[in-house]
Amino acid sequence: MIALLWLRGLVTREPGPLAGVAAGTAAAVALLGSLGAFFTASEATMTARSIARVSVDWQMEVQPGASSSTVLDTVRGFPQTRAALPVAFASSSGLSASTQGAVQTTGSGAVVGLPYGYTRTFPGQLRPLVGAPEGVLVAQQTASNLHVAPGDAINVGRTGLPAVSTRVDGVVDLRQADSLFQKVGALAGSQPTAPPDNVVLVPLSTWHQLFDPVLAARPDLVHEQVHVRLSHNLPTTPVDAYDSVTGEARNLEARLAGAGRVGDNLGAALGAARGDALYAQLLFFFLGLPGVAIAGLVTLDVARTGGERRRREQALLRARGTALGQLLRLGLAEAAAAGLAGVVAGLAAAFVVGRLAFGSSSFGADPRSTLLDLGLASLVGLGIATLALAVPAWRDARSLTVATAARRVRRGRAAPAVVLVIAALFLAGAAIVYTLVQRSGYELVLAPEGVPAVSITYWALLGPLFLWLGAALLVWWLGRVLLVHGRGALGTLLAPLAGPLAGAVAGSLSRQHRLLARAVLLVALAGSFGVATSVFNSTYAQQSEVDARLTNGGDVTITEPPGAAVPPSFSARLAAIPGVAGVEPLQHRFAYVGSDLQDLYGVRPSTVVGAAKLQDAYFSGGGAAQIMARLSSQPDGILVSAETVKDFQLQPGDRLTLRLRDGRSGDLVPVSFRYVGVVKEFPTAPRDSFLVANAAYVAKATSNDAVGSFLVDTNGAPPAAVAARVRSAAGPSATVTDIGSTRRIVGSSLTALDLGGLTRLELGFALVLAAAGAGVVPALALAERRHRFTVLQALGARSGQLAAFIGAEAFLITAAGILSGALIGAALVEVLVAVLTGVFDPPPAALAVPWRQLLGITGVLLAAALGAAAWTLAASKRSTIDGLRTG
Amino acid sequence: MTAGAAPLVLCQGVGRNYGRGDRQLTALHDVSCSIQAGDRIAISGRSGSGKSTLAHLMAGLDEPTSGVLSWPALGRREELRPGCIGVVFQSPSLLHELTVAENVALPLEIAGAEPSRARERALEALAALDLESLAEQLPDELSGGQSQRVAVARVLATGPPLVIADEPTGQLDHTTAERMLDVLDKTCRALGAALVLTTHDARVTARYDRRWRIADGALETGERS
Ligand SMILES: Nc1ncnc2c1ncn2[C@@H]1O[C@H](COP(=O)(O)OP(=O)(O)O)[C@@H](O)[C@H]1O
Ligand SMILES: [Mg+2]
Repeated sequence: MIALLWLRGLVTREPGPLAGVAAGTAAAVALLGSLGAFFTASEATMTARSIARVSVDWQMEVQPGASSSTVLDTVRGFPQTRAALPVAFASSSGLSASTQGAVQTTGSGAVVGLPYGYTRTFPGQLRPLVGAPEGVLVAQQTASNLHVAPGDAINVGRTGLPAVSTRVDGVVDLRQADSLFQKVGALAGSQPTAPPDNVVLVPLSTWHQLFDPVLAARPDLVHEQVHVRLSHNLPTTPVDAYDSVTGEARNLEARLAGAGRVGDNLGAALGAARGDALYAQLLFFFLGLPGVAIAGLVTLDVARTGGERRRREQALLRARGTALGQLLRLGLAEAAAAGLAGVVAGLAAAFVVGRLAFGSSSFGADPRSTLLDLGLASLVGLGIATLALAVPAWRDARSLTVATAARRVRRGRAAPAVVLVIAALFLAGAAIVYTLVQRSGYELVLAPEGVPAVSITYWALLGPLFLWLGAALLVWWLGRVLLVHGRGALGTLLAPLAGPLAGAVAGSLSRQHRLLARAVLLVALAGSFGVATSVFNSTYAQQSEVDARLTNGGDVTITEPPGAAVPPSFSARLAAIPGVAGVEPLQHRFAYVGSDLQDLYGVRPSTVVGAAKLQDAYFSGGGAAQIMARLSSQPDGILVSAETVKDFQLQPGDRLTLRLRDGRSGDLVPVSFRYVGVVKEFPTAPRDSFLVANAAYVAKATSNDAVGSFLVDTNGAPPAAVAARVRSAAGPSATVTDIGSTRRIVGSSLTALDLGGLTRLELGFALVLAAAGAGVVPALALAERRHRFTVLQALGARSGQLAAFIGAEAFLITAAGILSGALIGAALVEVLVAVLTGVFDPPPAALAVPWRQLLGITGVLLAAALGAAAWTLAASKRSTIDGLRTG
Repeated sequence: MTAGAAPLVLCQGVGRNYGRGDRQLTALHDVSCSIQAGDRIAISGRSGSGKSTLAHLMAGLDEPTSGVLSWPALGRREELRPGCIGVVFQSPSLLHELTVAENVALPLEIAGAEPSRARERALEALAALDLESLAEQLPDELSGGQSQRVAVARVLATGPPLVIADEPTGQLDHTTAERMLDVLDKTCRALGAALVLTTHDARVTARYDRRWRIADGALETGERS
């Protein structure tokens, strides 16, 4: 077959361009393949984490008038059900207990009846704190309100019936109180904001004894549910899993024919993860596809270096009467050979790179979609090879005759002005998008609860795209214009390097404006890609660190159970533990602001700033240090949330009287504070309203210096190890958490994305591509350069003069490329962070610029350019005079 | 020219091998000859006989593997270019990205001439060969004959005492070749330079009184040296 012979000839005669196309294809396939597999695996992790976070998948609400046992039977008969248990709820008119001679009472509360084995079936629901894990259990907050411990008696009030007394077996932490007490069937948003403050859990049989009489009289105070654990054999992406679970829920509701409604906790969790999954996909588009585009461009450029050879050979073949179709087949054969070689190498590289950058866990987590990803990547690779080789072959075959020789250099016509206009339009578009996304209310991804469709603000995606396109066109246009019209200036610039030859070198550069502008553009694009990814990712890392610290407080945090009176002096004992570099005590109380119960944190303003690494973004109206200084100078000062400021119409300096529980009497006592500032976030604080005040003042006013939590600074010692040591010192009732495990648990499921690995991968690719742009492409046009060298040598040029010719080129490409790459990258990351702001939690106050990494990129680029220049010089010298021997 | 004057080129038993071991190929074998100032010599031989090898050796662009090659009247090998020997090559030797005028000025600039002075001399050389209309063209816009004449102008601009032309008409049709040779002769006469020209074309050889022949790497001068 001619095509095979042709290919063999090609590979032996001029392997450079063909190998270059294969390598470019391989780079694109490897990038696409490894990123695709990575993101697919990340989505699977998101799904898995969402499932793991839910302890009761469905809460099936038995509708009034329906039989709970019928509902239970139907649910148990449902194919997806793995376990189903009945649970009963009743409203209590109030709880009371008399301890230490005083009687404590609460307002209305909830009494929940749990069947035997509930804790084992739904392990995430309750966490036993003290006493027995089953029996009569009181929630932590309730135990603290009633001052009760296991063994104490409490009275449970019943509407219309006498209260009953029962003995407390244990105190538990209700970990999923929000979903446990949800109003099933209520529209999203109309859910009561908070679960009941007072909760008692009793065995289901006891519950029936106590509340069946209430049911008869006041059915509105009582309701029953069936709690369901489902088979978790779900699709791997959050979107598909969500669709599947909500579909099943509707199916079950239909089977129940109105007897039950599903409180779909699993669906809600997956629904929330859908947004994160979409963000992951968008990140893939923004951080992955530009790399593929650059790889494609580099490949096209590499292929161009073989264009002259192809045109020559095509002309010959045509002269011998080869048909157009045959020429086209040869072109396709070339593309197929290079493309297939590239795809195979690319897939292998994707596998290796994926393992190196992300570890084995990310690869092949979902074989079907991984296969799909790799298949898609291969198609893209073949497409690139076809574009690079077959399309130009076809174009040339149609237009070339034997006589029309290849024109290597064309007259210096600068790029048309229309390119500048288009570039300006793109940039203006990017600027508009940037301004719009900065406005409040902008959200890129909306995955509203309970709504199947997820919406994306698509126009926002145009911001980075327009910026990149506009900047690319601008660089290309400027490059051409400056090279063509700035020849004189270029000559002056080169004079120190090239001496009398400066003019000739400048002329040579100027006439190569097409090649050089392209090379500059490639380096700039690859450079901008590298800069943008590395800044974006380090900003992401910075924000997840802030998030983890916000949740955990310190490197290690010891949280005391409510009612435990641990004094600040306990810090000294903690400080003695090896690995503990500093301890910051933090008071935690509950305070009534009017009728609203809020968390109150008592701090030592002078030390907490550093110890809790307070960020300026946590406060408004001043930086962290400034606000804390204000608190320090005002002993009765208090920081409140913006909502509280609005609700109470507070002005700075206003008095605010809170009711706090007194340490000695146990009664709520009024304590007067002075409003000094607004706090938005605070370590260990909840997301909604809370208060921050001086610990010393709170201790004095309530005669109670009990510490809620201790923030431990490990100063570099591994937090997990320190946490283990602290745990034994702090006793069994305290909760000890380290920042490492917090980082893994908290936050959005987006943390399933290991952006660190992504950075390594993308930086690697950016470097390879930029180096290719800076070095390989000019070096591949070696035939051209050899000729120039031979002529210059034959004319008597000395090595210095030869070096000036090649060095000027390398210098120009690298310097202009790096400079414009840095500028584009900086602008790009600014827009990317603004558009993808939802990825960050909390949103960044400033970008984190990894200078060392960026300097490294620059260094490698310079090395690549210098290396390529040196290699070209050496290769050209070796060619000697033979180049002018034959014709 | 007195017979006793130092020759421009002196070859004594010069040989040139390419490659090594079994792959070794003798392109030139035991060549002895000398070129005197003002000589006009045509060296003819078939393709692959060693013409280019000899031309490049004489121009100091290559080194012999045996024998002694020297330029008694010109200096050491490193001192020959730019300025002492002008070469017209067989294949196109203009830089694609420079204009004709810039190409012609290039060797002068390499030699360190002021760019403006070099350009002046280049334009003079082009004018002398009636090529001034091409001054601002790019090499790819020229025909083969025009390119070769520009290459000659480039030699003229540096004004060397010896011009070596390696098959300057190899790629040209007959009429164009004739014009090209006229230009070459005119240039050498203007410079008072010696000319060594290689060719495989008998019609070209006919223009010169002194004809040397080369076959299989052996030079036959037909003269006593
Ligand atoms: N660089 C080289 N390596 C090996 N062989 C060469 C090289 N250059 C020339 N030759 C061989 O040397 C012989 C003479 O070549 P050349 O001087 O170019 O011949 P001509 O110019 O007369 O056509 C030929 O057989 C050619 O193949
Ligand atoms: Mg030859």
